[in-house]
Amino acid sequence: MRFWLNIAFFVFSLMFTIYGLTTLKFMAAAGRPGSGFFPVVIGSFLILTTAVNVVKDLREMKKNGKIESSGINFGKEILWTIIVTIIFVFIFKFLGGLLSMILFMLGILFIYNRGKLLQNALYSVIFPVLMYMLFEWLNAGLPKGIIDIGI
Amino acid sequence: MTELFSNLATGLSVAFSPHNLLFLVIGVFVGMVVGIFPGFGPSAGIAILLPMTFGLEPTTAIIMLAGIYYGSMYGATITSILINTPGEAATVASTIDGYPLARNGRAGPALVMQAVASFVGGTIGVILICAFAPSLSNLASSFGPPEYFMIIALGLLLLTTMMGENKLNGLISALFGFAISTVGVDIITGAQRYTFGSPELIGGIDFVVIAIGLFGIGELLYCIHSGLHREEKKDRIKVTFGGKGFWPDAKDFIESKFTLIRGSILGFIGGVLPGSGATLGSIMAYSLEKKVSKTPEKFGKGHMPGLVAPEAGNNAASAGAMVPMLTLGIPGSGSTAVLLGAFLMWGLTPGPLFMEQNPEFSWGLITSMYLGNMMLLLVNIVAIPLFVKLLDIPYKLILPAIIILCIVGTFSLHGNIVEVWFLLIAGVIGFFMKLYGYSPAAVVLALVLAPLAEKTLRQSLLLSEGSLGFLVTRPITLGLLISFFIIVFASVFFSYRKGKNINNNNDITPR
Repeated sequence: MRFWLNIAFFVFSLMFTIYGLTTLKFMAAAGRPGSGFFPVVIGSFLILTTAVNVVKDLREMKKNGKIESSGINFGKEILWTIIVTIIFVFIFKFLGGLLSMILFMLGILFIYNRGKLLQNALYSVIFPVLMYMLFEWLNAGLPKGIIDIGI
Repeated sequence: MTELFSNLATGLSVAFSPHNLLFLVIGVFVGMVVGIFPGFGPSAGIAILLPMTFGLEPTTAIIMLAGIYYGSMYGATITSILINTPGEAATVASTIDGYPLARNGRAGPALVMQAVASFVGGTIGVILICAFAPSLSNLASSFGPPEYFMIIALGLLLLTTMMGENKLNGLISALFGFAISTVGVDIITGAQRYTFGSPELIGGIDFVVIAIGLFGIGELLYCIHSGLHREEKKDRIKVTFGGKGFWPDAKDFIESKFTLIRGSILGFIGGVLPGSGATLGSIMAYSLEKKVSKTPEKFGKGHMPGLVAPEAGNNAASAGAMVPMLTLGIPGSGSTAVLLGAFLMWGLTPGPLFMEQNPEFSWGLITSMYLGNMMLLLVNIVAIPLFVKLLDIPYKLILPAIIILCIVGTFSLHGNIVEVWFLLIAGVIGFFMKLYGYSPAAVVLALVLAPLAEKTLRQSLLLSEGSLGFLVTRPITLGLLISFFIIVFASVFFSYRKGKNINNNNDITPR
């Protein structure tokens, strides 16, 4: 996994620099640094440094046959947390701030706190209601959604 | 001297307004909670709660956010002492003697002494700010773009070299921060960069979104990876409050009287140095105390000065970190970078003239730190049972609350759902960065400093007609450049020596 992250960073650096070189001016008129000067300088350093990591990984792979790196623990829980959060963001504007917060809480607590129905139900209603009231008081402009149950 | 007292009087009149006092109390309480909860350090706390302060006056908001910042140092020690788990990197050194003290039946005195040490450290730190910040402001007023550029470069170098194991990854993280900052409209030519024609990207990517993503969501995913959600109730040492054994005795104070002063001064110096912050300040204070002690063998076994030194150190360092931020506009850590970002959002640009032009704001903030430390001392002694109870809340119940705060807080910035997607992406990347030794703090620090770094670099090049000669023709810049190379060479040398030692040890290991 570490290897792929380093590769991703290297590819990003390459694309960032090439895009900067092709779309932005490195030097402007009268020898002044242009809009692309800083991005290209940063991109060049990024290519150099991320390449060092990739080369180090390749050498380690050649020497040991694999790369020693820590794996992800509780990957399933992490993935579910991300998925439920993505769903939360998708429904946030559609269902409104309050309802989507309640549903999100129920979803997350279903993963992490199974079997405690009453506790989960109470917590999933009380916390979002308090948050909603707080953000309304702060004029944060949370979405009302299609079912407007603003308090 | 008269000027100092008049400035302090101005500050007191600001900080003592009922409105500001109320938000200071809220700030220090939230800071304590932030410090106690795992995976929710001051950087995350300030970033996540930043959107909530938009409805407040800038002075009130900054006073509250600063309260969260130094309040978290108090809270983080409670977990160090009672469950042997530092709530924040800056309290790692406090665990070494804090936990053994608690195990030896002296949890009460340890908790009270950490509050006293934090108070003394914070107070000495604030006194030193009053003494040094105006002089540094005067010195910095002669700085031009080349000096600024070199200070930023030096600050980032210090951050990456001091961040520990993988310095290359620290550097890459900082470069990523710079890269993200280039999205949007170029401040000098007005050209669009990396916007791909999208109107959402023209204004650039807000640093708050990235900070909340990296520190909030990224850290939360890392806590799940560490298995915190599986812990039902933490195995903490029980404390009996209010009884005779709860209070420290005279010996504790006598043993620690010079430790408090040494730790505070050293911590403050650590905090002023860009990139080092409270973590280094506390470790330096602990190491010095052990070196000068007549009984170094007692350290690590529950010796009060071993707890007092890092506690005074990390709180003085939190105050020290305010000096480069207020006078140069250059933060030294992830937390102060988020604070600086908050300043900028309110149109306040810290720098050499900042304290002179905004006396009410800057002195209001400094005096509020005095008051905040006093409140924290009281809160820590009177309300410790309440905060200790918070340790019993399982992480699985805190987790959804943090995500909601991150998402709703980000949305409330500009009412833009695209920014919430950026937050999630930053969170996932932040998790992998932390997992594989990159530095989310360096990303945020570079992101906040990038506009100034780019502006000053381009201005310097214009002044020197495109040549890099500006680095050597100005005495201060030259001095900073020499320091830069000394740090680079020292860092490479020590890494090489460390690698060689490891190889030698491997060679002599019997097979």
